[in-house]
Amino acid sequence: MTSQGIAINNIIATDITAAEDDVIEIDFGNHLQNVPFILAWVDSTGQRYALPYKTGSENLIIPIGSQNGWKGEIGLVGLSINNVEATFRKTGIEDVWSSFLAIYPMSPGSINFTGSYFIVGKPLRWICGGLMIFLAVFIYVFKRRWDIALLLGFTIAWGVYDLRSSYNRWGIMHEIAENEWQIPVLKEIDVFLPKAKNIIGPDGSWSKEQLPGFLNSYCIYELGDLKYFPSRGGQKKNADYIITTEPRKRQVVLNEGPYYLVSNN
Amino acid sequence: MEYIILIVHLVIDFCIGFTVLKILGKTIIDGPYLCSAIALGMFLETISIWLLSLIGLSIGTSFILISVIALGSWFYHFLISTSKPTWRLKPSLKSMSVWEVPILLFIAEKIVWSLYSLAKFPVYFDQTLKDWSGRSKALLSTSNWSWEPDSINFVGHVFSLQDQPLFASIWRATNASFLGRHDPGLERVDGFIFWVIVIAITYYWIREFTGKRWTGLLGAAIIAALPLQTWHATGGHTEIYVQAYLLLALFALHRNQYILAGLFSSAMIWSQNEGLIIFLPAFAGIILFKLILAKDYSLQLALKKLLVFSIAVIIPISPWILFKIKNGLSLTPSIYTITGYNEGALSKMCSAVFNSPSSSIFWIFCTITIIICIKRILKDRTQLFLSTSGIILILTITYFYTCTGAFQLLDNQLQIHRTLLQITPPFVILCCISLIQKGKTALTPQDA
Repeated sequence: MTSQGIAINNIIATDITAAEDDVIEIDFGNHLQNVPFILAWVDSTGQRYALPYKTGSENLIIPIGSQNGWKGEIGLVGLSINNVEATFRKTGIEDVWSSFLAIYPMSPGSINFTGSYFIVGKPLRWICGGLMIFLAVFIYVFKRRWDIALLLGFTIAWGVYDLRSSYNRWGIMHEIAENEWQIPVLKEIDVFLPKAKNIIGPDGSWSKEQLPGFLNSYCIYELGDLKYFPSRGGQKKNADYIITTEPRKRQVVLNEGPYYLVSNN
Repeated sequence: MEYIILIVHLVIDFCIGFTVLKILGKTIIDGPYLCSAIALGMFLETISIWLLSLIGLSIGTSFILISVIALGSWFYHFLISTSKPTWRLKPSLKSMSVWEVPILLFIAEKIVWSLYSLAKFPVYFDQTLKDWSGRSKALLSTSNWSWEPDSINFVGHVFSLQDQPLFASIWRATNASFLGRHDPGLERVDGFIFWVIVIAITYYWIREFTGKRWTGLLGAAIIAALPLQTWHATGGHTEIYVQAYLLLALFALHRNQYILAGLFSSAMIWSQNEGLIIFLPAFAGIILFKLILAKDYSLQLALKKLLVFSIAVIIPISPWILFKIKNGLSLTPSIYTITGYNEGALSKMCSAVFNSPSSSIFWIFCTITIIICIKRILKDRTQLFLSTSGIILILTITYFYTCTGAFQLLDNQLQIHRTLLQITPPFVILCCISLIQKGKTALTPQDA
């Protein structure tokens, strides 16, 4: 199965009955944290649904019951990422706070859209919308001024929403600070690239094969001042070195974690 | 060293902007003047460096040349000229009310986080890595950049799409050429500068209309707290450039400064391809409405103002447009090819606007405010101008996301919230000034 052009190859459940209080708990362990992934499912009519990109974290809890298309019989639920453990269970009281206060880590998508915060399966923006209307009506009853009522209602609700957003931003900062100011997904490549840069040298050239997600762009940027041959159009063969995650039988010059620098001569 | 380079760069940009504003007859240096001068200077500096690069000068040499001219102009106008500009920048915290302190703290929290993330986070987001900072790196390297159309490295093609404008890349490359390396904070600080400009102009516009400091601060706080705003202040993308220039252009137009509005519209085109394809047509519509609704409307006067605006847009940006045409670079991204209405697009658009965590309850609040304040809006020229501007902007965006190939971007939501973010400032100002009226009906902090 595919969703948004991404292969959903890790099937975590088949033929289940959906309920409004369903949650999925996914453990990404240490090695896959901050990796972007898609969660998708197919209902009994064959209609496909998917959540926008999410980012992996330890014991990630997704309140799936509140999602569009999560009703009735579900034929199949899958993830775009392997080697993670996922379990289904009903919402518990501890989930309400833990899912509300869970920090959404910075991901490549953070610049495009923000994560949705939930309380008892209801999005915080709905709760803040309700709060705005309630306060506006409440203040109007006493003041008889709808302009004051609406402005105050919105300001307070906007402040509440921002409180949660700020908590998340500082949470991200705290997590990265605890990680010695290193973004987890960049940990290995940040060790690899300076060493690779030294080996390639100012007169050398390089190319790369497909790396996971945005690391392609990160790699191009970090080595941007060295002569680069893109892999398209057969130009890769002109490069002195190639960066890859699959060295095969080529001469490995440098290896850090999953990243290899291989000689192309 | 990074801070010194940044400050010197901004001072030079201010001097460039100051020179142009002086030529346009502006002599009182206040808050909006300072914002306009810096934004104008950044635009004219980068487009001049690009033109000098085409004739073979390096970025560093071009910047020094421009700096000498800008500083010369500054010295002349401040030390020699008899008609010296007047400074009216007196930030005062005196008589700060109990209502203003929490609003200021609210804004300060976002500024502190942004500065902290500029200092600590790497260049991270995909488009920044490729299109903006990536090409800034390529510009300074001799091996990955060429001005020769036949080269594979033509305008940094190995890094990104060739047709993206070079504003951000040149501004960042200038910093790096003097620092001797690419610093992750300096690579993204331009977004922070534009964010401060957006907050400041929002504050000044609301304060000017209502005559109250706390109302300006409230508007500034609302815009600072948009969920995506802080990410764009520090992420290195150029959506925030367009957001700031759009607001500055509207502010100039509100003050009947047609040349300045034209220059800022030109800067939108130099910031992002969307500045040309989406925002320039919308702005042209806004100008037409402004001219038709003018108190002293006459066809001759309207055509004269339209001509002045058009010349101010075309002159600075025409070399870039001609360069693209001559070298076969597309003027608009292919995704905006007109397809006709796409089934279901409007409901997806509505969902993105009204039911998304990326803007939370902002658009619901705007809609309710405009509906209940419609009488007030129709009676006041500023509010009428802002509301027609806002409606034209949202209709233009809706057209592009429902009737062109950009429709597919509604599914993955990769771009729609960034586009909506760009048009938020006029709506914040409109809502604040229509709810907090000036004169006898004004709200006071005590009412609140």
